[in-house]
Amino acid sequence: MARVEAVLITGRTVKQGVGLAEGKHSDLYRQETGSVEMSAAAMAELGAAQGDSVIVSTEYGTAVFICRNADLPDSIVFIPYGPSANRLTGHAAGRSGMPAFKGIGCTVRRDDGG
Amino acid sequence: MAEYEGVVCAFCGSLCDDITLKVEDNAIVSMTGGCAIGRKRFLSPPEANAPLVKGRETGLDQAIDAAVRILSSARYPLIYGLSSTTAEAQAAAVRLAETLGATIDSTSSVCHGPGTIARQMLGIPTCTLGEVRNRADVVLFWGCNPVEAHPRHFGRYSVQARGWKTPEGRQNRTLIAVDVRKTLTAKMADVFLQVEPNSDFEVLTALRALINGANLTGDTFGGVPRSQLEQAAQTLLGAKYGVILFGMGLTMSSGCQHNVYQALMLARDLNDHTAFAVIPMRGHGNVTGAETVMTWLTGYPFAVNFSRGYPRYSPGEFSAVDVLVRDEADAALVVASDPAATFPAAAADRFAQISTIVIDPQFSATAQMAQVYIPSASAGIAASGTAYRMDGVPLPLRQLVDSEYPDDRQILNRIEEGVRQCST
Amino acid sequence: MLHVVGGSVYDPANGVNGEVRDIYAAGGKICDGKRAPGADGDGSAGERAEVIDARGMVVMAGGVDLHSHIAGPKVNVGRTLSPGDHRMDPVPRFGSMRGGVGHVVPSTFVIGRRYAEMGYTTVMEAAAPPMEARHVHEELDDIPMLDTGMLLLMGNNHFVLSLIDEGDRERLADYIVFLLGSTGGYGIKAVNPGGGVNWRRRGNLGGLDDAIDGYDITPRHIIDALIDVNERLRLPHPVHLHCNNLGQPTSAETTLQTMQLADGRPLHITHLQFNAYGPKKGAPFASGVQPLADYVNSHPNISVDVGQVVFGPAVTMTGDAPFQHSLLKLTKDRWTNKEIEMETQSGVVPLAYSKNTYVGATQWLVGMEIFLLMEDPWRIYLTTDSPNGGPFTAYPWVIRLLMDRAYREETAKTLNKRALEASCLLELEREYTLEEIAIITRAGPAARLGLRHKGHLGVGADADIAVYEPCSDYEAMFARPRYVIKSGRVVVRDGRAVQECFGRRFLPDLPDRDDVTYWLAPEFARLYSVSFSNYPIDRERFEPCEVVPCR
Repeated sequence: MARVEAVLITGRTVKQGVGLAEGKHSDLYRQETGSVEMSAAAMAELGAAQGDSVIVSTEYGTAVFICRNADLPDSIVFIPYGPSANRLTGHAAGRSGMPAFKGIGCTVRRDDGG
Repeated sequence: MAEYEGVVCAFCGSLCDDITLKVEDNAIVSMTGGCAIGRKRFLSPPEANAPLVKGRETGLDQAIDAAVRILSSARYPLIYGLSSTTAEAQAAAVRLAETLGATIDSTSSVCHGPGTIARQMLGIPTCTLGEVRNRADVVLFWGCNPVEAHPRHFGRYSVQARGWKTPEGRQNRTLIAVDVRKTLTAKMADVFLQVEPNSDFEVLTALRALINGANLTGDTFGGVPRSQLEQAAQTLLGAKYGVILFGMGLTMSSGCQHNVYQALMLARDLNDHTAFAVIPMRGHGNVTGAETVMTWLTGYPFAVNFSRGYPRYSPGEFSAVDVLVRDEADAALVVASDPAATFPAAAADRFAQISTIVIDPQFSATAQMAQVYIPSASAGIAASGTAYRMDGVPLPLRQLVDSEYPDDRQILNRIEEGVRQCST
Repeated sequence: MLHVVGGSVYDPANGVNGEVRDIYAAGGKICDGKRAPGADGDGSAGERAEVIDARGMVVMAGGVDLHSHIAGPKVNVGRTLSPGDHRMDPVPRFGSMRGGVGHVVPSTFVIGRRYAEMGYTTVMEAAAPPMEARHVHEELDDIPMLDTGMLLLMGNNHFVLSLIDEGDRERLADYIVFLLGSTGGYGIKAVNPGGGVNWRRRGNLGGLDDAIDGYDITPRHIIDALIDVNERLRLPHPVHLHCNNLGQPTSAETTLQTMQLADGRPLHITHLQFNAYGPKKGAPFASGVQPLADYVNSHPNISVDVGQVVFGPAVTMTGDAPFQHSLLKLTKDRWTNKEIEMETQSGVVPLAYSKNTYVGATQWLVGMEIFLLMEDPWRIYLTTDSPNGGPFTAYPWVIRLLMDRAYREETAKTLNKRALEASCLLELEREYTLEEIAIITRAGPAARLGLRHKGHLGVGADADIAVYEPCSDYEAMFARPRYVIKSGRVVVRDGRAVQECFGRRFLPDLPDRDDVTYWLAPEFARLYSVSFSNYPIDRERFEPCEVVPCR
């Protein structure tokens, strides 16, 4: 099965912020924080289309996201801060208390439901 | 009906204070100004939840008593959060931490803490946001995306803003953005330097070398072509007043405080040639307050422990994620913050496993995991106090409506009183 | 009701010089001894008097420090830069007394505690930026044991400079009243006036008649105008000035010209030591004290505080941003610079003073010369410009140096030899008396600040009393008072704070002036990044306060 090795960046977006203010149960928040952004080429390599489910894994954990196209280098994927992103980030020693939130090695593959 | 002008929005570190609100029948009914997030915050906040103990609705007094019992009997209580409440409440939290002999940490440790560590080592050349608005002709955003995280920053302070020596706003400025991806901020920049993830340290040191007159050999540095770096160096040196604004791209990627250290040194080097300042793009509305208050009360900005009866500071040892992941805390008091939504799962999951108390106007994700939930009056909406903007300027948060619940400061003071009585 | 029995009282403001006298206090004030303890009339009928046996001891009013950096953004920067130092001086909580950290820039609870533990009860924050005055107040609120106020930075303020440039003194007075009233400031402070404006392009200026970017005025105009307005407003304290050219080898010349500019009008020159250098034959950097002392001795309108240097670590923090940057160049260590829109600039640089270096030793000697050559103790005050010259906890050491010539000389002889040879210190035999110490640490600063109820023990004064056990080691004596009383309550015993209390904020009784809103608000909106309505601090934030009458 096609997999893409990439670097994961997590971060803020306006929608995630609006969703925060709205309440974390809002549809807006859940949709936004359940998405992963990838370049068109990366998605093509995966064989995934806009809106498909994909599985993202890092050394810290695994979670499922809906993928969408974005202007990104092929080797970078972006996920807004949220509960799903939290499964992929982790505590790392030697960082004076700062967890690994950005620049984490990850693997992405299509979620074929199996 | 009452109209309030100059209202401060406490959502993000921009602390916009130009908002007008109309209040009728104890509700905010209309708003002028603000961004989409601010509008949500003032006009459609989520409904308040009643206090809860072990998932059951209860009275405020009972919830506070439950919190007192948990904290008094805890071996290693952790107080965390604080970035969305008033300075007065933050001071009350420090007092409680001292009484308990607890560890107290704010969202700094997972956000701009590394920048603070760098600042402790070096100091920082900095300025208030009005200086950016009034004088900055070169603005460099490094590892931050204000278009999405601080929506009105460009308009009020750093890009389109018109000021004393910048009457044409955007036309008076050269914008440089440095990031691993072409963010919305980068799209608006005159110059975009795309760096490879985890290479900011390398790029910063290369830039510093150029500023200091060295010749670089090598074609690219951290993915950035040397020619682009040379041009950027020229632009920086040619500034009349340059400002570097940085964010999580530096503090969170590999190197953390060492990245910020280089950025601060870059600005220091530039000050030998022209005038430069650095401002950290603080995310939460009053995380600057949490650091400021903790520093004046304890000498240290975050990750502080009182187990020995005096404050000790050790990021990595007393920072919340570490304390949780190492399973040291047996109780947590989370105030005005939602770490379950932002912490790595290994830490966030702990909140459900230990005795957690949440004080928050919203029934947050962390509150859902908590043994005790205490609703509080929202800072800057139903509770007054001081908040500190990302540049350190203190602003007054006003109380616009009444809440049926007390504010964070009052709740924390009641808990502290209860804990003291328990121990006598 | 409090009764301090049988101490040798040093109350120079009331002509008491070591007489054995009883002091009575009720309701937080010194009261008439003829009232029997517990008498009603002060509402405390039946209350037993607490009696302090002060026989054989020295009794003075609580200390008054008119220039110390204790609260606000700069001070907090100083704390931020010193985590490793704080670690070496932890201060555990003690009973109900909050803990914290010490070292050169302590946390707030420790500042109050340590001042009280030396017998001080009143401290004036030396330099507050108007836009961040709220921060200064919040820190002052968390400093226990002391009554406090803040001096407000104005010497590089755009509106001040513009109004001076326009020649509109009346409007300048209106604006200064607005500034003090809306920020809770106590008096006019100016730091390197005009120099901060030039710092915007990373420049400075060198003298009173140098140009200031963007304004058609000079530092001379600024200082003169501020003194003039201070006289019009009759504020309790004179203009409090950090002179131009601080730290420079020719600073004494600038300072002398500045004093002359006052022309008979009251002026206070702060941390004079740092502005008292002049060239000598063969030494470009040396003491320039004599002409300054001569001038001050013959011009009673001038007062100074010394800014004595203390060997060891210090943290420099001033509104003299260009000078602070030059310190970075010397130390190559930590440096924070902050520019506050339209108002002021500041710099913070930790460093250490060494007796082994020519410069460090000279600075120490200059401070001592100032103390010993100024004749009128009522116009010279003991400061270290804390923490710039050294921490305030060194005051007892300075007192010993002033009172004990043998100790002073013994200390001087351990200094850099060249510096000592160039100084006249060894020829200065003077020893300060207890009365003079009481003047330079209490009575004088209180009077100069216009605080009529401080610095003395006459009836009606605040019951702030320090009781010291005499000792041939004056440092030990003043470092560990037997008792310190604040507002009539014993707060320190045997040099240890035993009860935490909080003081009040001093505000001047500002005269009514024209409202500035109509002309200031539109300019403010154009130039500041906050709303005009958020600039003034609600008056209730200053409570509890004491409004001090004007002259």
